[in-house]
Amino acid sequence: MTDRARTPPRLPLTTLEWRLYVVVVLAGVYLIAWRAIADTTPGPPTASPARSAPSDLTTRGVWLDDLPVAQRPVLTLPPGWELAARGEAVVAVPTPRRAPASRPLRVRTRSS
Amino acid sequence: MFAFRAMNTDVAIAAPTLDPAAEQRLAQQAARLFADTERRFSRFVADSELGRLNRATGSVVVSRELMELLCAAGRHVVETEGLFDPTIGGALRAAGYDRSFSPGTLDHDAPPARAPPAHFAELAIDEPARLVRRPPHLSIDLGGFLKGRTVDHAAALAPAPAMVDAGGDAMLRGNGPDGTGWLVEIEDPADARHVLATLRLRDRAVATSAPNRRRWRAGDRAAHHLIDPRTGEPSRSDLAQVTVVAATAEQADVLAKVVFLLGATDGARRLDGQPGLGGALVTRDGSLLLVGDLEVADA
Repeated sequence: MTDRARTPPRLPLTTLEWRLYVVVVLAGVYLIAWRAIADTTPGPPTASPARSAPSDLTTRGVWLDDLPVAQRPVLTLPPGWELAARGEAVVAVPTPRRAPASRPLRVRTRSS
Repeated sequence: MFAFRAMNTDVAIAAPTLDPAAEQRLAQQAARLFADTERRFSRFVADSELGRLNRATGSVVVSRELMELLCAAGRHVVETEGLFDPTIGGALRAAGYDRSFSPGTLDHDAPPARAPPAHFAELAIDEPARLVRRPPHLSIDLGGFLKGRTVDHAAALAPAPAMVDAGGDAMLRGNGPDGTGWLVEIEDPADARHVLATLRLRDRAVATSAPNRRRWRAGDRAAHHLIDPRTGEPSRSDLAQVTVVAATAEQADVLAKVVFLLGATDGARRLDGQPGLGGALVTRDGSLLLVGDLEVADA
């Protein structure tokens, strides 16, 4: 045991080392802030479906027209941009009719 | 055999080994495929996806299928050194082909206009993002290979032997209905009642290009749909008709147009010596030139 007051240990850093330490800390703070801001900035419309999709889809990405209609997010596109739809509205499908085939079956090629 | 009408032409489907009910189901599947393809990718359907792309003023996110079509078109442009180019939509419209064709409907008194030159390379395509940006003067027409490509897709639905024939663009799977190959008659472009030659095909496709049907009057000139991308005008080829035999109807469709634009000498050279490729070229004076890998059943 001793009554002598203990002196706190001193960090053996030079002035130059202290400056480097401060620069590294500030750079880290800047990087974290920059990443946080970037994550809140609206991206291009192609990225929006993935970001707006349910959580299980966000990691691998999904195309808007691959989602069920009820799950598709509402997109706000920049001026001049247009989202082309697949055109899945009513399709007039012709009804095939039995046709008399030539014997032997042959093709007549021509411009059409 | 079953038949229906799609893409402004008659489509016939036959699968001789299937029972009638199964053959009918196959024809119904094919009919849906043709109708859906036309609905989405025809430039004449106002609300088609292609129509929207052709009207868009900025970048457009397109469907996976349209991106596949554009990428396939890009490959054809490269392989044909620009003789096939789907950006001739403006030139077709300027020539007067501004609606679905039927005889007489495109005739007009004004002389044909000239469209600004357009090339596929001017399209900005971001394939991974499925983004397309089209310069304002450029209009896309996929008619140069869409029918052949759809024939291939429809034929893939059927077990061999099977035939899918869309107005003369046909895929003939297997060794024919009786094991001796499929017979393909080449129509005389000067007289549709006559056959110039009959080919025998096995697991091959065939397509024909000629200006004898899709033609109209523009002022005092005759115009047709076979636009030469080098001039932006209807081709003045020395050929009257080209039939190409190839592995796929898409390839035959593209090559028939390219050979027509090249003319008799260069066109024949293009097909000759290529394994699996053959052609029947009819010159304007009516001569028939058979080149390449062909089996002629009757000529």
